[in-house]
Formats: sequence, C-alpha cells, structure tokens
Amino acid sequence: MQWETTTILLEQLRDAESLAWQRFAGRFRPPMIRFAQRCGLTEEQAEDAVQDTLMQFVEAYRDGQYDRSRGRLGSWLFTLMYNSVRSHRRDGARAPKQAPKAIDRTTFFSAIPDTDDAKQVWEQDWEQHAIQTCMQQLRSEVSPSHYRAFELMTFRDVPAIEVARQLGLSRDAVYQARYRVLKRVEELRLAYNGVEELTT
Amino acid sequence: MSGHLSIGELERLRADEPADERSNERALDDLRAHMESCATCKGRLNELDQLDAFAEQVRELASPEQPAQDGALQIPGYELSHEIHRGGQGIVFAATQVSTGRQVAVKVLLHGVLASQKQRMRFEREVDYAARINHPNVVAIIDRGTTRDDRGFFVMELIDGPTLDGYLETHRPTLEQRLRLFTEICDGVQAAHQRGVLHRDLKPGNILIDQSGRAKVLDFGLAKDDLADSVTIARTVAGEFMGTLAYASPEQLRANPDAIDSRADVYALGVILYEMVTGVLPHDMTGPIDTVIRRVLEQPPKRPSAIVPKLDPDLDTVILHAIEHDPDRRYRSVDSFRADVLAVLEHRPIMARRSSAAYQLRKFAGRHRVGVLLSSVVMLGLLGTLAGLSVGIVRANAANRIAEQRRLEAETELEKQSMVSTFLNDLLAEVDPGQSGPDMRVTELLDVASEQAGDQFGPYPDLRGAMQLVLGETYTRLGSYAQGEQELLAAIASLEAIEPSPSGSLAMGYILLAQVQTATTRLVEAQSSLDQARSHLDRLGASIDQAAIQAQFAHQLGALYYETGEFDRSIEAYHRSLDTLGDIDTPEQKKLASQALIGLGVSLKRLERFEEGLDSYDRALVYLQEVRSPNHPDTLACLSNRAEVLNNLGRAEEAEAQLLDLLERRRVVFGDTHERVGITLNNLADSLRARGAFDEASGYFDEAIAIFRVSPGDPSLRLAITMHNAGVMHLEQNQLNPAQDRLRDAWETSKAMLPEGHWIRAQFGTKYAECLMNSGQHEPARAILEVTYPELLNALGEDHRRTLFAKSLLDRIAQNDTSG
Repeated sequence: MQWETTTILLEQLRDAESLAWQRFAGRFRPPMIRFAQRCGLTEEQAEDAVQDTLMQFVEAYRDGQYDRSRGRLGSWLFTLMYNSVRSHRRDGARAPKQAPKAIDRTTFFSAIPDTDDAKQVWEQDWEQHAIQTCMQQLRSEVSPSHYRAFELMTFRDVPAIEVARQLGLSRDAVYQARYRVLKRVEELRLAYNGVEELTT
Repeated sequence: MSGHLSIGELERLRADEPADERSNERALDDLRAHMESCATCKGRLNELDQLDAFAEQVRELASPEQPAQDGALQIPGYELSHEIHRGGQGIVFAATQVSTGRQVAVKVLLHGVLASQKQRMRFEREVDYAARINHPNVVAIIDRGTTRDDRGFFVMELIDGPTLDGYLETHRPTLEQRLRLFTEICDGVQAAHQRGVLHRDLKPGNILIDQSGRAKVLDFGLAKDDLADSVTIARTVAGEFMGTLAYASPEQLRANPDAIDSRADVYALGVILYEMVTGVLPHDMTGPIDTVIRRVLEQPPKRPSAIVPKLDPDLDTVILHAIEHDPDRRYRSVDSFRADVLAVLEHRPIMARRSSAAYQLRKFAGRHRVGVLLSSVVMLGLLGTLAGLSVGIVRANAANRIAEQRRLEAETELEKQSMVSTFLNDLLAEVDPGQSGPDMRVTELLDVASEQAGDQFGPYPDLRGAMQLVLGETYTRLGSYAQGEQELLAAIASLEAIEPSPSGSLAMGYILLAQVQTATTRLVEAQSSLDQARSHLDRLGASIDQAAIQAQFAHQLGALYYETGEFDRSIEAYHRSLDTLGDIDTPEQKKLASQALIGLGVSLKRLERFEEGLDSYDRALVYLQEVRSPNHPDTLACLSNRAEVLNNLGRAEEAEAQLLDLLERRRVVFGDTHERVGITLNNLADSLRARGAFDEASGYFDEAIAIFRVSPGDPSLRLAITMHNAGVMHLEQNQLNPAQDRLRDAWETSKAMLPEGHWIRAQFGTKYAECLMNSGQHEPARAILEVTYPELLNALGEDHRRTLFAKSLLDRIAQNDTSG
C-alpha cells in the first residue's frame, strides 16, 4: 500500500470535493486532541477546538495562505491550535460572545502553558504521533518477520544472532531488516511532516 | 577480499561479533582489513552510527510497553518475561505459567479494544469458544482473564518458530510441500469452523510454523468482530490496517459485518495460497487506499499461472475459486477448498468450476457417485424435470396463445428440445457410476447449472424461467435459501416478461418464494408472496396442473400459519392441500401428499396432539418409500419430526436411535456443517437432555450451536432455539450462570427475529424469567412474565401447558411477595 504523503494530501486538499479532507483530519487529529486536553480542555471542548483549527487551516490553505517555505506544517498547525485552545478556554468560562483577550496569567488561564512550554508539549505529541503513524504504515509494507526482527532488536535488545534463530533468518538478513526498517521510518517521517517527496 | 561489506557485516564490526562457525560468514579480521582501505564502507559505518541516534528516538517514542515493571500488567499465575509481538489489538508476551513452569504466550489487549460491556462479553465468549478448539494445527488457548487495569488477556501455548512468510522465505519449500503445509492450515481453520469460531483475520503473520514444520493457526475469532469498522477507518486514516486489507474479503472491505461468514475465511485462505504459490498478492496493493480497495473490489486477479508458468491449470482454478468476489461463488467450506488442493496434489479431478462449462460439468459428473448419495437422486430429479420442460412449457403456453404463436412455437420447439438435450448431455457426460471419491454436493452441481441457466436459454424466457424455477426449488429444498431466492426472483422476472403471463408457473414461483421467506422467518413478505400466488392462481382454469399448484399453495399457507403460531389454521390448510389432491395415485400426488402430511404432523405436534402427529408422519412415510429415496430431504425431514414426536410420547430410545441414524445420513448428504445437520444435532441433544444424559447432550448442543453460528444464510432462529434448549439443560442441572447466558441470548435473538406476541419468543422469555427467579431475581422475572404470559395466553390458549407454566411462575412471585 502506497503511503499517502502529506504533500500529496495537501495537494488533494485544494480540491473542495476531495475526500482528502477526511484523511488529512484523520492523520492529524489525534495529536491535536491530545494537546488540547493537555492544555486543560474537556474532551468535548478539545473536539471542537480541533475541528475549528482544521477548518481554519483548510480555509487558509485553500486561500493560498500556507507557505511551506515559512515552516513546517506542524508549526503552522500549532499556532492555529494554540489560539483555538485559548479561545475555547475563554469561551468555556465566560460569556460565549465576549471578545478574545490576551492571556491573563492570574486567572483561570494559568493552567495553559505559555507559548514556549506549549510548543514543547505540542512537538512532543506531534513527533510521537508521527512516529507511531509511520510505524503503522511501515508494518503494512514489510513482511511480519522483518518487522519482528526490527522490533526484537530495537525495543527488546535481543542480539541479532538470537533473533535470527527465532525467526529462521540469517544474521545478515536480520541486520539488513533492521536497517531497512529504520531507513524507511526515517523517510516516512519526513513525508508525514510534508517536508520531502518520497519515491515508493 | 572482494566487494563492499554488507550491512550485516558492518553491524558485526560495530558490535564486534565474530563469525558464526556454522554459517559462511566472513571472519572479523577480514572485515577490518577491508575497512582500512575502503572509503565507501567507512562512510556507511558513519551512516549506521547516525541511524542509531534515530533508532533511539523511535525506541523512545514508539516503544512497546514494558511488562511486569508496570504493576497494572501483572497477571496472576504468570510471570511475564518479554514482549514477542505487537499487533493492532494487543501485545503478546512470552511468559511462564507459575503452577507448571510451562512456557506460554500471553496476549494482553490494548486499552480501548474492549471499550463496551458488550464487546467484553463477546470477547469472553469468543475466547471460550476458541479454547474449545483442540487441534494440532491451531495454537491452543489455555486461559483468559482481565488485568488489573481492566484489559482483557488470554494465554496460549508458546510456539517456537517463524511465521508462515518467514518460513517460506528461509526454507524455500517445494510447491508440493507448500500445498501440503496449506492443507494443514485448512485443517486448523476447519476445526475452528466446526466449533463455530470464525477467524476473520487470517494472514501469514497469524500462522506459525513450529520446529517440526507443522502449521499452527493463531488468534481465532478473538475480538476482531470490528474488522469491518477498521476498514472504514482505514479509508480515512492512511496507513492503518493495511497489513490486514490484502487478506480481507470483499464483503469485509465493504464493511458489511452481516455478510461475513465462514466464506470470508475461505477468501483469506485463498489469498494466502495465492501468495504461497506465486510469491505475490492477487491484487496490486500500491496506491491510495480508496483506489486499492476499489481495485480489489472491481478487478479480477491475475491467474496464478500468469505469474508462475507451467502451473497446474487445476491449481489456477482452485485458487481463483477461493477468492471469488461473490461469497456465493466461492467454496462453501474450508473443507471443500482443502479437498480440491489435495486433489491437485494427488492429480485427481477437482470440484471447482472452470470457465469452460462443458469441461466442468463433465468433471463434476465424472466424480459423482450416482445412485449412492441423495445428491444423485436430486440431480436426476432435476434432470428429469428439465427433460420434461421443453414439452411441458410449450404445452402450457400453447393453450394461451393465438394460432400464429402456436406456429412459431412449433418451429422453436425443436430448437428448445435440442438445447435442453445438450444441457443434459453436458451434465451427464462421462458419468462413471463406479468411480468414487470425496463427496460431491449437489449444491455445487446446481451452482454450475445456475450459472448457465441465465444465458444458455437466452432467446426463450419461458424455458429460462422454468429452469430457474426448478433450480430455485432445488436450492430451497436443500436449505440453500439465499441461492434459492435469487433463482426464484430471476425466474419470476423471466416469466413476467412473457406475454401473456404464464400464470401457473408464476403462481409456483411465488409459492416457492413464500417458502424461502417463511423458512427465513420473513413472514410478512411470505404472506405478500402468497397473495401474489393467489392472484395468479385465480386466473388459471380448472385442470390437473391447477389442482397440484392449489395443493402446494394450501401447503405453503399451512407452513406460514405454523410459523405465525396459528396452528389450527395451519392444520386446516394442510387438510385442504390433501383434499385438493383428491385420489393420491400419481408419483407427483404422492410427493405433494407426503409434504402436506409432514407439515400436518408438525402442527399437530405443536398442539400436543402427538398420536395424531405420529400417524400423520407414518402415512407420509408410506408415500415417501414409494416415491422418494431413503436419503431424500423430505424423507429425512419426516424421520426427524417423527423422532421428535416419539420423544414427546415418551419413546425416547426409539427416538434417539432414529436421530442417530438420521444424523449419519444428513452428514453424508449435506456435509458436517450444514444447518440440517445442526437441526438433527439439536434434536438429538434435546432428547438426551430429556432423559438426563447431560454430558452427551452438551457435546451435541455445542456442535449444533457452532454450525448455526457460522452457517451462511439466516439461521438465527435455529440458533436461538438451540441456545434455548442448551439453556434449559443448564437450568435443569441448576447451573444458573450458563443457563442465564444461554436463555437470555436465545430470548434476545428470538425478539430480533419474531414479531411481538409470537409464542416462541414468549416461551423463551418465560424460560429466561424462570432462570432469573431461580437465582433470586424476582423483579426482572416479573417484568418479563407480565409481557410473556398474556402473549402465551393469546397465542396458545389458557389450557396450554406453556401458558399454565408462565401463570404458575407469576403465582410463585406473588406468593413470594406475600410471604416476604
């Protein structure tokens, strides 16, 4: 199964009729939800905030406002998401129509991390989800025995010779499998972040 | 030293790992010497160092959970050692069973896999079923439970060996060895099916090969009922579940869980065999997900022989038959698939259909044990009917047509006769009655006929319609209701296209359709089909044909009234059917009379008029002995019902002997997993239960339930009845927990299948209420009885023992209230 790179997804997103929107949202919603909840939003608020952010992004993107040369997709979404989180926190506590204000550290907004902290949290979640998504894709691409070879070596520190015995492979094949898996995850992660095209 | 170092060699250098003496690895010193002088290899060594940093990041962000250190993951009775596999549903750990010191594998489900109570119950049930599969080609389940942090887990035997794909890659077995290995996989899956467990996620990664080279299938039925949901998700979340998609059947890809039965596993096995034989998957899985799914759903796979030249063409056919898009066109069971693979191995003819109709028909006919099995009798009956068609239809239609048309018909009659004759010749060609072999089921033959009926008689809708009618009737008689209905609808469409409409045939078409609908408990639809039949019958003049159709109409009405619980009307309708037939002289009349008498017997039994019922069956048997073979479905049905009524009359030993004999015959005729076998198993079990032979009964109940759980079509009501009977057995032994589970499931299923007020669902509710009362739950029992008692009163009358029983339960609760 060919990996749908974020660049391809973004290209398809230009077409308002495309189903790419669903796939785009499916790919990036999980870390955004997690981030929103870590910033103190309830599950429902987080869902709303993420939905708003994704909508905002798509509108801006279709308007041609997203300039990839100015930064990664993740950073762009962070800015939108962070604003959305603050806005939802505010709306959750005050009258819904009140005009947005800057963060007031002395009131209930204190639970929200400042931009730097938030950014750090965001990047951690983003990166974790990116790797996990890539790993999932990877498992559909490599044979189960090769994946297992990689898994046993990387996560369990099982020596190559032992992995080879367990899986009925040669030691060389085990090392080769680990190498290819890692190179491929590296590639996939770049593609996830919309940084680079892939050849598949 | 020549050539650059391989990745493995570079890694060995980095880790300082000496050469393995048993392999032809190069010595470390040689590698070092090469390194000194090779800039390329030095560069690659640097690359590996950098990759380590990335590996560390991956390890940190995507590392599977650590067992044991996390208190939540402690599992009483087991010491977890290390993770051996991680899948979409859970993580498998190697562990030691403390009590025995035995090495086992423990699969812990991920959080959220069993989110709802319903999912949890289903999981537990599935594991219990899977645990009963005791087969050398299935990884045995030893234990199950819940972790402290509320995750489901189960314990399996630990297999030391690679997965199927790893094994193929390293051992490179010959084609013959691969096919033998594949039949072992089939054995394991078939054993599970016989226990009522579907796999739903068969793939090479779920098949292990142990040290002795034996295949072991893993992870049966366990919490994978949401595969269809997974596919839906896969459409939106790129990259998920893709490993599974290649083996998912089209009905799974369409996210249609209701359509998934044992044939989904047949499909997955077909893909696995395709891959084992060709080394590639049947469909190209590259490209965007939607495109891939569309490709799988729409495009036929390449013939395996196009990839592996000189492949036995029969193997081509077998593989492609297993991965047909339409489940109805696939092998019906893993057993028949396996039998064909074995046939290829042993250079015997296969059962699967080839594209050339004449070839496949000859092959079928050649393997058919004429005169031995019922199937041959049915087949010959079918052929006999077909032989009469050209004359009969032309005759019937001629009466309604003007002279001009008669002339045209006369001209075409010869052609029609010739077509029928060709069709029959093809079917019978090369029949060798002496040749025996694995059973051939008549349904397989019907499939061939059905495939051709659509186009073989192209220019003559009357002939085509009549053909389809016969096929529909035969399928229906064999209990293949889905195919039966399909043929009958096609027949009706063909016949309705004729001007003027052939009312007799159409009436027959609707009567048969009503039969299917009644058998699948779609009673309102059945009533409407009978209304259609009646309107066609009204247009027929009086004739011998008309009397026969009227008799069948009355018969079907009797069957419908039986299902709606109107037994008096049902008996009346059956009597009318017999009366319409008049003097019962001809074989045709005897056949119809025997059917009416069987129906009559069943309704009489429901009214507990057992002696009359027995008399009715005995009369039917007299006719059946004259006009039907001992293994004909009607004969078997009559014997089955007769046994039941013998039981009711307290003649249990006679009943059981008859049921055992019947069970054997039905196994021969229909195959081990057919629902008719299930019915006999249930009846036998219930008879054993009635005389307290609970252990024997239990095995038969389990087998029946297993059959109904996986059989194609819609046998839910039968499943409910069997679960009810099994529940009653537990209740009689005071095993209240299993009794409550079974009786509740039976009641819930009957509620989904039957209209409000139906006596069966009222009866099931009542029995469930009794069970609740016995476990002290009086209030919920009362709530149920307040609904079911009036229903029984209304459906069966106040003197019926079931009504009286419900009343007695309510009285007991009232007394309890007073005394309490």
